[in-house]
Amino acid sequence: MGNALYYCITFSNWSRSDIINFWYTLITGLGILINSGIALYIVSNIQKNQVNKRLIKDHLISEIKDIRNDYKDLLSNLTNGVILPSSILPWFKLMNIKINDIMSLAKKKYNVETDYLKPYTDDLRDLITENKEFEAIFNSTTSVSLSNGFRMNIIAFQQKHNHLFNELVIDVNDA
Amino acid sequence: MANNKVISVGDDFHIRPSLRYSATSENSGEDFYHKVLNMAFADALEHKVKLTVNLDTAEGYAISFLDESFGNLVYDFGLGIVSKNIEIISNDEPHWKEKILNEIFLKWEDRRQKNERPKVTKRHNSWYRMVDHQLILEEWETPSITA
Repeated sequence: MGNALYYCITFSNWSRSDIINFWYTLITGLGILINSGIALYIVSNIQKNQVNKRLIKDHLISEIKDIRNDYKDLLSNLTNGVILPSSILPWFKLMNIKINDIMSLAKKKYNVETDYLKPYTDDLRDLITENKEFEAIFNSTTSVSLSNGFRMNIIAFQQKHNHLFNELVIDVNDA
Repeated sequence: MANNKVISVGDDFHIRPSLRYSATSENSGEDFYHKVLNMAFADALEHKVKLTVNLDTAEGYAISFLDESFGNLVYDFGLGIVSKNIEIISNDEPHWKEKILNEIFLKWEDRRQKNERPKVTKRHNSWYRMVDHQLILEEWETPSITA
C-alpha cells in the first residue's frame, strides 16, 4: 500500500517528457526483445532445415553408392561364373524396385530425372538376358563361366556407363 | 458392368518366368502364352469382360519372355482388340507396362500386318486366333526346331 502510494506520487511528479521517455524506452526494449526472439527462431529453424537437407542428401548418396557396389558385385560374379544365371532376373527385379524408390525421392527433392540409371535398370538386363550364350546356360543348376566375348561386352558396358553413378551423386549433392 | 477376368503370372503360371522359347528355357514366354494367356484372353472376350494380367506376382522378367507372350497375343487377336480388352498391372516395375503397351504391341502388330509368323519351339495344344471376327481354335504353328 505504501509502495503504490509512493509510485503514484512519483509518477504524478513526472514531467511530460519523462513520461514520453519512459514509454519510448519501454517500447524500444520490448522491440529489441521481440526482434531477438524472431531472429533466434529463424536462425534455429534454418539451421534445422539445413541439417535435415544434408541428412537426406547423405542418405541418398549413400544409397546410390550401395547400388553401384551391388551392380559391381553382380557383374563381377557373373563374369567370374559364380552366380546361377536363373537368379539374375529376381536380382534385377529387386534392384529395380530399390532404384525406383531412390530415384522417386531424388526427383521429388532435387528434380533429378527418374530414368538416370536406365542403362543399368533396363539396358544391362537386356544385354545379359538377350545374349545367346546366356540363353544357353539359363537353366544350368550350377554356376557357369562366360566366354571371353560375353565378358568383354559386360566390361565394355561398365566402362561406358560407370560414370552415371558419380554424376548422379554430384547432381544430388549440388541440388 | 461385369468384373474383369484376372490372371496372375506368379499364381497361374510360375513364380520364376524365364526367357523366350520353350526350347531353351522352362517357364518360357512361349509356354505362358500357350498355357495361360491365349485361353484367358479368349475366355474374357467370349464373356465380354476385360482381361487383367498381374505381373507383380512373379520374381522378375526378361524382356524376351514378355515380348514372346504379349507379342503372340497381338499377332493372334490384333492390336485393336488386345488394346481394348487388356489391363496390365505392373506396380513393382512400371517400365514393363510401358514397354508392352508402347513397344511390344506395336512391333507385333507390324509383324502381323506383314504376316511374319511367330515361331514355336514345341508342339502346343490348339490355341485361339481371331480370323474374320471369329475365334478359331487350331494348332496354328508347328515347331521350327525340335526341343
